[in-house]
Amino acid sequence: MSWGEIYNTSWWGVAIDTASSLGTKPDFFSGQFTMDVRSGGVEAKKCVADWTHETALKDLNN
Amino acid sequence: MAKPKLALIPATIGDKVYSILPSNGVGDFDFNRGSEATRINAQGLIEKVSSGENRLNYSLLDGEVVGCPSLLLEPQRTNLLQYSEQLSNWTNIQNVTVSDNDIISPDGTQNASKVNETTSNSIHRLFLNPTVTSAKHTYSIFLKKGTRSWVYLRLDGAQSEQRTWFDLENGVLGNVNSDHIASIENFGNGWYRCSVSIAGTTYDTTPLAILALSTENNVLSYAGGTDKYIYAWGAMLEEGSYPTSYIKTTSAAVTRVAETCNGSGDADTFNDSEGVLMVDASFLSDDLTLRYITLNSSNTANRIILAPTTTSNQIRCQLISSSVPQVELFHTVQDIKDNIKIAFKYKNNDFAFWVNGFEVGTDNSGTTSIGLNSLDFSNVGGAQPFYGNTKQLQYFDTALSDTELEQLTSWDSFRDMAQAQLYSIQ
Repeated sequence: MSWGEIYNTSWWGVAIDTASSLGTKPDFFSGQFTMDVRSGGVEAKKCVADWTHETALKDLNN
Repeated sequence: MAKPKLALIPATIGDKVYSILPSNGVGDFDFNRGSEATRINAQGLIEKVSSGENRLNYSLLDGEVVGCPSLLLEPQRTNLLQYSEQLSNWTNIQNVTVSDNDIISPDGTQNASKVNETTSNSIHRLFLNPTVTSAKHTYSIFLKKGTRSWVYLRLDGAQSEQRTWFDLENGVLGNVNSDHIASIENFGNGWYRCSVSIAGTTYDTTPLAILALSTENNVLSYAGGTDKYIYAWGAMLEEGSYPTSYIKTTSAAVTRVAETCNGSGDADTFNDSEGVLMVDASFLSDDLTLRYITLNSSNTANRIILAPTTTSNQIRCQLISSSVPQVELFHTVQDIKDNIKIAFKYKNNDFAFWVNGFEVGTDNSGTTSIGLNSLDFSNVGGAQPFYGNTKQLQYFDTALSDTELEQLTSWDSFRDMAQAQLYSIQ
């Protein structure tokens, strides 16, 4: 499955599209950004990114 | 897969425990610890963490950092041994010489001591003997082989002269005293944290904390050599049945106070009618003490509880609605000190308990809690706090399908599962 297909069929891809059209940030992906802002620094960025990526990709298996 | 309403992936250090979801901060936990503490950092080194800051702790497997950090929550402990890193100040040094600041220690600085034998034909040891309360104690110390690789630790309980031997060459236990629970943990670069805890219920108020060199397993006394030595650092004697994170001392005992981590979410975050609470964590000890993670209504009338029980390695989920217990499901795991993925699904007349990818209990009768507004690493009001390592915590405001619950509580591969539970694959 190509990235475009993943993007178009997953809820997070749809979320990004929908949010973009509304001029807002999708909650899921902006979570890492806002956590960084709130905390003053995320130490384990890769762990958050991996978790986000993994959780999002799992959606495709259903 | 549904999207979690609240997700905690420990990734930040600060005076809060920040949740990635929801992104507005409502899911952040209030954290407190009114003293300094230490953690294992991303480089695998022991590092000081300031008072009030939470600890991201990295797991070590065969001496190396593996995977992502977990949120470490520990009870109060006091290191009763003075000069934990300057062993030349210990009051009883017999047939050894001690040189401080000789080699790089597990904190990455040159502050570990060299313990060198004399030629005496005797026991080669050093120790402190503080007077303690009559209770279980644990003695631990970081050791590295030099030209000797066998040592023993002595900690007295039911009898005097209770010794356990350690092999610093191979990182394994030797002869373990029957009143000791012993462990040896690889901290990398040749360093091992060796510990002994009193196993029984008879205690000695002057238990001694002896470190002695040895020629091999179970050997007590022998003619020493001036070219025979080991390295030592970070000695700790604490009241408790298991070792906790290292506490540095100099001229007096030092206390690390208990941590609290509560108050995530609000009434809008949680759905009273249906949902799933998932925790991926390990408990510090199988000490048969109640350690709660609760989704509650800020009072005990309505709660969802995930906790170990007073039966060894047993965990349970319970749902209470308007002060009436509705559901209580149990499951026994191999070791609650290993990482466990637990999920509890709730919906009127539809409750399920999932552990490590399997549905281990269901109940098709009962009503759900009302007024849920807080997720805590404790019972309501901070009682029975959870102590352990949390890898992740997720809350869903819908009742997930069995397929989703299986996925949520499983690992993607055998390797991931083994690594999460800190097993070496040979």
